[in-house]
Amino acid sequence: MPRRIPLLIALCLVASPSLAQEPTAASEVHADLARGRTLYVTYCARCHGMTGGGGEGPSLARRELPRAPDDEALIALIRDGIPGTAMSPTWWLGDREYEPLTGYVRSLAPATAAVDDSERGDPVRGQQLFAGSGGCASCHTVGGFGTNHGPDLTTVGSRRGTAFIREAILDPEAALPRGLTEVGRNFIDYLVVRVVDRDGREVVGTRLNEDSYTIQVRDLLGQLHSFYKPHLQTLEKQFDQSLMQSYREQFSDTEIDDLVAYLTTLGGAG
Amino acid sequence: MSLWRVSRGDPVVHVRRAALLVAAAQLLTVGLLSAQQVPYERLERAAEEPHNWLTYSGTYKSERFSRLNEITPANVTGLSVVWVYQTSPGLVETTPLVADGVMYLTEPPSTVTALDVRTGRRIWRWRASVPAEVKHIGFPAVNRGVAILDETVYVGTLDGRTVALDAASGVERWSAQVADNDLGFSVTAAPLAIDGKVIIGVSGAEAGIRGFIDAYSTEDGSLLWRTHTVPAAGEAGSETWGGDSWMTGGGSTWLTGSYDPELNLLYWGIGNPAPDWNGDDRPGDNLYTCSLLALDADTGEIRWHFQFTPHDTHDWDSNEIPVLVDLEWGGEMRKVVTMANRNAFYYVLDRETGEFLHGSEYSKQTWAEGLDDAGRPIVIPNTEPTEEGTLVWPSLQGATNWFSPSYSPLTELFYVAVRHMGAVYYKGEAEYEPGMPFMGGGEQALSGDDAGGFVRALDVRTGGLRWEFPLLTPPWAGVMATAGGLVFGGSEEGNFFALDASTGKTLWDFQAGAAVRSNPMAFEVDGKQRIAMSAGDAVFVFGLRD
Repeated sequence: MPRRIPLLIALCLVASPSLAQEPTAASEVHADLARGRTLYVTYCARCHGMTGGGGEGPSLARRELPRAPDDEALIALIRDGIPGTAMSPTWWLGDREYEPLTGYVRSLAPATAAVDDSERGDPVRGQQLFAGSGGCASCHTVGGFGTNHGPDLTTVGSRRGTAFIREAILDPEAALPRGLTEVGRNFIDYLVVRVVDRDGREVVGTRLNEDSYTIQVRDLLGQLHSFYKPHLQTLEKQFDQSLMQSYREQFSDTEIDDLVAYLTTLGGAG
Repeated sequence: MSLWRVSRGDPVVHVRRAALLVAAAQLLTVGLLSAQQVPYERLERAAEEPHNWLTYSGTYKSERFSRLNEITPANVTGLSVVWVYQTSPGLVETTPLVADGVMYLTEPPSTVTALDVRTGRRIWRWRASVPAEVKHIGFPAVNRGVAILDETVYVGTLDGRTVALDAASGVERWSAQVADNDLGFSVTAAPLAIDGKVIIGVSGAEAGIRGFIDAYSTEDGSLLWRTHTVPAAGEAGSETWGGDSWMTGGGSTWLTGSYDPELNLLYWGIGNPAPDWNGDDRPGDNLYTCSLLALDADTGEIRWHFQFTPHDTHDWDSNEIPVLVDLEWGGEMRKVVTMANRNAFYYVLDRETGEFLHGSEYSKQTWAEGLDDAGRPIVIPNTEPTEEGTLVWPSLQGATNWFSPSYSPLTELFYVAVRHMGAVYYKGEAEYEPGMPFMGGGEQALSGDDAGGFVRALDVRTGGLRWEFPLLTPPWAGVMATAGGLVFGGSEEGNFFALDASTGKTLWDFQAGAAVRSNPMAFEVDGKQRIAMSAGDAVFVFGLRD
């Protein structure tokens, strides 16, 4: 018989109210949930957080998942991934994995209305900071207004967890987004590059797209440049840099909470 | 035109006569296309007619080397598109054949098309009636090309058949069921046609098939021999499998092998054991998975084997193209077979005996300290997949994969497209159910800016790196060297390119607008050299303008 993965019984969880009604069935459900959690920790937690609260990926601790109204849709989403996002397929899993995994993801939904640290802040004040002293719209777009030096944040609340949003505000270079721009899946978006062409002309900007021969760059003034790599003197990719400044010094803790609260509401989160 | 239709079982002589009559009529009335007469003797000496491309890898040696030399480093910047053929949508991995003015290629899922090589205009198209619910577990719905022999074109189908088509008309002559698609068997590789036989490999290890190589009679599609790649209980090699694990042991044969007519030996690469990432229930070396087999072409008998990756748990199939090279080795001429393996090592073996002559790392790997004197890897402990995940280079797609390498006898360099990519390998459960995935784990590959690719030129004897050309992402496209001194290739980001075969310097490139997932090939029409590559759902043909 094939060896079975040991169940992490020690990690077995708080049962939802419906699980307590039939003891025999419940023990099977518990085993399934434990199995589901093992799978979740292996495949999902890196982006969606250890407790499903979100991170680089959105929070799954909600009663309704916008892209997965039912279990069938959730299995399809986990199996096939979401093209154009960092959500990779898991084609090698089967029903033995998908069923406990989707069961576990559903169990992350809070019994009552969602509570997370985004509620510490005031989204209305956050919106004022965003539009006002934060100067955020000079680089970001929300609802069609703003500029495109950084990611469009119109739906950021549905795509990112609050921890990731907070980190992006406090330590932007530690939370570089991936896979949203034209370069391709899992490439760093808005990667800062420094280019010196064969005439010695230097350009610093962000990468818009790249192939094995060319790179497209938008400089700090918004000018588009197209370079042929074999003709460059220097192509420096600054993987640990972001054009965005940290707001750690500019805003108080309360103001950061407000900004996080505002961004979390964008795109119908919660 | 009833002569074009030839039913199963008709004597071959009638077929030939029919084709000749048709060809004669064509020559008299149209003057464009000549007869498609490709007897075995022409295949054996394919290198002598570089204006055609008669087998998947160009010749039986699988060098994927074009002896045409019109296009050179000095004029390659003048290369431009001559025509484009738009295929049916899907993943296009075909290597077209060209014989006497006609190009034969395959389109997704298992369609065969004949084109006028001068214009790209279609002459005929044959569609396999592949059921919508066809299984292809662990691989996409692809077909990599056809074989041609005499007046017949041979193709494998996704639902597990081999079909013979009249080369002049596309009419089906016979169809043989190779294996049951319900169990996960498919045929995606281009067949290899030799004298009177068509050799077929199968896919399906991710469904727990027991692999084999088949030889069919070109005359009527009858099975001449079948050699299993996983020995049954009691057979030689069965001691390398625990319990009944051999019954679902994998060992697919999903790429086209090579052939040495003098030795009458076929060389065929064998795929991974099943289940892929969980080896607990198949203790032992798991012969002949991840091996190269030398088979007697008359009987299918295994003459020798060499296993690259014993007891593989990373899905490092050894189906990569075995390239046959005749080399001066230690002061005497020696027949060798070379392979850049998915496991990141390059190998040189004596192809008469299977003796290990040389092996060395050609791409980053973190699973073996090296190879011992017999070529067996010295495995680093704790590099197997685990439930928590184990980071290992290369990724499960390997340091290279299905796409072809190339060897130039002029530079004595072995060119290979390299996937520079690691992965976190996971081990999972695996319970066999017929026709269902049987893999026991998976991977999350490092990707985006954490991965990359190269075209590398290796010294054919030592595997030493002569030059490399970087690619932004790990490639899914092969390479072809030419007598003009160029190496053609493609990138995942849509670049076709030509490199200097001696230095690796880039000399020409073209953005095709979609990922290149094919091997380049070359032919000549009206005395002009042509280069064909596909990208997206289109086959591009390039040439120098007059």
